[in-house]
Amino acid sequence: MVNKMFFLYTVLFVFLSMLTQALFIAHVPDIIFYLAKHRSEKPLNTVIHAPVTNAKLRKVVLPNPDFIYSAVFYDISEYDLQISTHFPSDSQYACMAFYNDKAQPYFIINNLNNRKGKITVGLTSSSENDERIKSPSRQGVILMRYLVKDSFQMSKTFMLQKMFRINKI
Amino acid sequence: MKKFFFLLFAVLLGLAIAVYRIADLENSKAFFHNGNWTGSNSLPLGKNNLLTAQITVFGLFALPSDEAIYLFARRDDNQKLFNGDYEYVIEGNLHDIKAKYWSITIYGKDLFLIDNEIGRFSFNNSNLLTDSFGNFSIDISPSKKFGNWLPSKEGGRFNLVLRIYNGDKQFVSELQSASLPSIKKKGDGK
Repeated sequence: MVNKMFFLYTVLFVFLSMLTQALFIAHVPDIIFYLAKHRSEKPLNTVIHAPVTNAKLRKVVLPNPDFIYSAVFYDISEYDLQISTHFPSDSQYACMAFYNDKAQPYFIINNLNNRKGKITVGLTSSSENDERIKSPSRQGVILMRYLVKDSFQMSKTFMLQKMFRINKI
Repeated sequence: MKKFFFLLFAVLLGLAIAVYRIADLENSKAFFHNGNWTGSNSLPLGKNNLLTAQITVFGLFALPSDEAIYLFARRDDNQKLFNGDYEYVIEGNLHDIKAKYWSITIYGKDLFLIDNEIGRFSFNNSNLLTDSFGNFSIDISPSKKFGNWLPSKEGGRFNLVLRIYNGDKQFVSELQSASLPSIKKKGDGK
């Protein structure tokens, strides 16, 4: 009887330990996304322009000091969004990356192949509108990256940042 | 009460193992090792829970592999963790990395940029000083150096990240055996 109980408790211990491990690993991206969203200090669907990337920028690990960032934590549960931005010429790399609520990228637009100037896209969680980018989750992040190699590009980029806008549709 | 503590211990043990496995990025099967550098040219993000958790923790909001490649280095050529009490040199050739843009950035143990008096955190393929053949060397040191100097911090561990954006397709596919900058420890430290 004692041996049987010992065996059962051992199985329960191992099972519970492995289940906790698997659940924690599976939900780390959700936890990190939640923390990042709450550290952004701005309401959802509001554009955040990060300043020049330096040692004071401590919201997201491994920032690239050659980039200037803008971001939006979005929520499209009640309405779709229209996102507009302005890409520089391809001599200055820029990209707009869409991440779901597990902080995983699902759509990227960059300015290579001579894609420059104003870009406007729609974002939806509905499968009914094929013309808009389909977000796999109702919340997520849009991250704009602008590569900045010199002071001229930097001042130009600060102007481009202001053209990154979000509107309700 | 004993049963409660027994179950609590099982949960805590599970959490501890999960944290250890997430932190053990260097030994992930998804990564290759090339010299000092560890990384991947085809991360299966979102398909492998452990790898997704690792990338989210250590590279939140990273771009997918077809847009950017991230290689990281934590150890010198003797497999010792980088230590701010020592000086290191990164040597390579500008033309070895075939990409539109690449850079090498230094981060502290906490994965944030290291504050320094000259505001220098990285070098890229546009601002490196090279010889006429494209050869370069970057000194990593807490004390001021002439030329390509990446300031480190005395007493602290640090990490390096090599970013490759829009790399040549063949170069990226053969990254595991490509010629990448080497990182060597100089002298015996302070």
